[in-house]
This record gives sequence, C-alpha cells and structure tokens, in this order.
Amino acid sequence: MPIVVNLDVMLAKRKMSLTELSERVDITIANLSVLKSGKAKAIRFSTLDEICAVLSCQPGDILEYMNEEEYNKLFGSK
Amino acid sequence: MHKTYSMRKRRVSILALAIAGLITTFLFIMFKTITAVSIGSIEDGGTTVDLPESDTAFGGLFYTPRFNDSLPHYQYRHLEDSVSKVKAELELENRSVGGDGMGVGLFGVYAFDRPEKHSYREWLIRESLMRMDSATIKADQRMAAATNKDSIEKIKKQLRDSLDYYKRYYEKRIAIAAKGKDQYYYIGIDGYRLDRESKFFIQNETYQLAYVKWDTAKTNPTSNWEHGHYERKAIPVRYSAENERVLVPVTKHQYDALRSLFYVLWFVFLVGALYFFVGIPVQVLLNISRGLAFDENNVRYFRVIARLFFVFGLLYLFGPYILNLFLRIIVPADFKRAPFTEGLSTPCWLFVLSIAVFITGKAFQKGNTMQKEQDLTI
Repeated sequence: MPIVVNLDVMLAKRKMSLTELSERVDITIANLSVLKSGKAKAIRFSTLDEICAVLSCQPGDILEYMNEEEYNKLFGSK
Repeated sequence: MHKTYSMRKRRVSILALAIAGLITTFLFIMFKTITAVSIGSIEDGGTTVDLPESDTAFGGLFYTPRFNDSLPHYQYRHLEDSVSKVKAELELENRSVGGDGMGVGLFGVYAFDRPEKHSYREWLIRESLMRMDSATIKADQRMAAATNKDSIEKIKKQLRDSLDYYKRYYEKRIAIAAKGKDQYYYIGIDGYRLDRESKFFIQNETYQLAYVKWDTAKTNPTSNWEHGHYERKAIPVRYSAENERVLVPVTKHQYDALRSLFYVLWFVFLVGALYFFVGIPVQVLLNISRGLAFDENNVRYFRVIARLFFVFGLLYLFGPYILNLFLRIIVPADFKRAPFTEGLSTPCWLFVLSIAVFITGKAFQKGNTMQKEQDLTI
C-alpha cells in the first residue's frame, strides 16, 4: 500500500514510546502497532486528530505517499 | 418535499424478469413438444394388437380360460375363483412384487422367495393337520364302540402317541424343506420402463418378454392403422413393473457381499448428509450467535454446501443417463430410461437451493471483507 505511516519517526523525534502515546491517545498498543507496521486499512480523522495533538505535528508528518515503485523498492513487493 | 404514493419509484429487476421470461418460454416449448408427441398417434390413426387369449405360451399373461356355461352355478363360481386366484398369484410373480432388499440411489440388492417353497410348506402343514384329524376321528369312533374303561384309556394313549408321532414327523420334514435354495437374489437398477405394449413374465423359471411385432402399416388419405401381434423372447434379467426396476440375477454369495457393501455405503451417505446438511448449518448458526457471523469458516461452509447442492443436482439429472451407457452391457435395450423432461423438478429445486446458498455465501464473503477492513481501521 503506497501510503507509508511514519509514526515511529515522529515518536523518535518527540522521544516518546508507543506505550506512552497509547496512554495519552487512549488507543490500545495493539492498534497502534497495526498502524505503525503499515497493516492498517484506514484511520479515522478523530484518531489522526488526537495523535497529531499529542505529537504536535501535521498529518503529513505521519502519513506519506509513495508511488508503487518506490514503495516496493523500500519494503519489497507483497 | 413529501412524496406521494404515485411519485415513489418502483424498482423492478430487469435481469430477474428476463430470466423468468426465458425459463417460462423454455418450459412452454417443452410442454408443447411433449403434448404433440403424445397425441400424435391418435391424430394420425390407431393401433390394434391381437391378444393371444387362448395361448398359454405367455405365462398366463393373456390367457383367459372359457368355462362350460352348463355347469352348476356353485361349480362355475368355484372354478372362476380358483382361476382368478391363480392369475392373481401369477400377476404378482410377473410384476416381481414382494421382494425384500435395500438400495442406495439407483442400485440395490433384493431377494425374492421361491413360490414353490411356500406352497410345499403349506402342503406339508395341511397334510399333517389332515392326518391328525383323521387319527382323532378314528379314535373317537373306537372309543364310542368301547365297552370298558381300560379299552378307552388304551385308545386315548394310542391317540396321544399317534399325534406325537405325526407332529415330530412333519416338523422334521418341514425343517428339511426349509433348507436349500429358498430365494432368488438380484442386483436392482431403478429407473427403467418398458413400452406400453411390452410385458415381462416368468415361465418355467426363465425370464421372458412379450412384445408387439407390428405387421402392417396402411396408409390412406384419412388414417394410418398399424396391426400387430405378440411375440416373446428370453431375456437375462427380471423386471419389477411396480418399481420400474431391472433385477440382474446374482449368487447368494454375491448378494451377501453386496448387501454388506450397501449397508456401509448407506451409513456413509447418511453420516455425510447429516454432516453437510444438518451439522454445518447448525455450526453456522452457532458462529452467528457467538458474534462471528462473517467468519471465514462460515463463508467456506456456504461455498461447500452450494457446491454440494449443485453436484447433486447434476448427478440427479445426468447420472442415470451416463450410467445407462455402461449398463447397456447388462440391461437389454427393451428397457428404456424415462424421458429427460420427466423428473426435472427435483434437480431444479437442487439448483435453486445451490444458487440461494451461493448468493448467501457471497454476501457473507463481502461482510467478511468489510469486517476485516473495519477491524484494521484505527
């Protein structure tokens, strides 16, 4: 899927762990792991809103579009 | 804006209408075809067949004895009743009524009693009763003529000894008669019928077929008439007109082996049917009640059941005709399968069920996909 989730990059920048984010955003660690690993199919605006508020960032800092070729080069074709 | 009834749009599926129209047209054409064939011979002319009423060569099928009208009424009726009874028994034998057996699908194994066996046993029983009655009557006459008590006691003891002797003697003979070949054994193949004029009969323990040989076909501007007479030929199989079943003779050993096999097949078929058509639907309902409605297992179950219904429909429709190609080695060509258009209703229902379950499975598959997406929506 060509939409890449850079949640781990933002967490590293803000020096925050997944567990802490999970407590502050009130989403389970399992769901955040699904989001971080790129397996999520969709994200609600309300969820994106809460994550951006806690990490003090823009949606574009977390979500990045890559074309199919670049994505396959980076992550391998599935 | 409040819509009135007349303004609401009614949606009718054009595709469903088209399918309904096509199938109705097909069935209408089939109906007209069958009707035209069945009344064709009456419109064209007719047929006459000589019935060999005085000929006993056809196992009594057509034979009608003539009684002397000058006989006393009670004798005439007695003869008439006896002949009717014999004809009824022959009819039962020729129609192969009374067999005992079991089957799975088109095939089965059957055993028929030898009629001679029953009548011999009945004769032995009648004979023993007659002898005992005769001995009792003679003893009563002697006791009536006896003058003293000792003589009467002696006669009573002799009577008791005689009755015991006759009872033991005839029980032994009946037991011996019960041994030996008592039944005929067959493999049964269902779904065969003869032409309307052809008749099966048994004569001297051989299987015979009486069929019409058409002699002349006259043509004239107004009508066609065909005239025929009956001929007979020996065939290797027995036929049950009641069940439209061809019976192929087998040995007792083969019958016992096949009977065991049929028991196993019947059991396997029953377990399979209960698993797929009762167990799996119950499992689906349980899954739904547990909140796992759009589970992948449910989708798979629907697919399996839909395929099974479809396969059974195909087997029901085409199986007998495909099997017939191989069975022609055993079954004479005089026995024919029912026309294809007969018995269409059961496979049609199976196909409808298959489609309904398939559509339900597709809906559940869509639900499964949507549920997965929902589960992966953060």
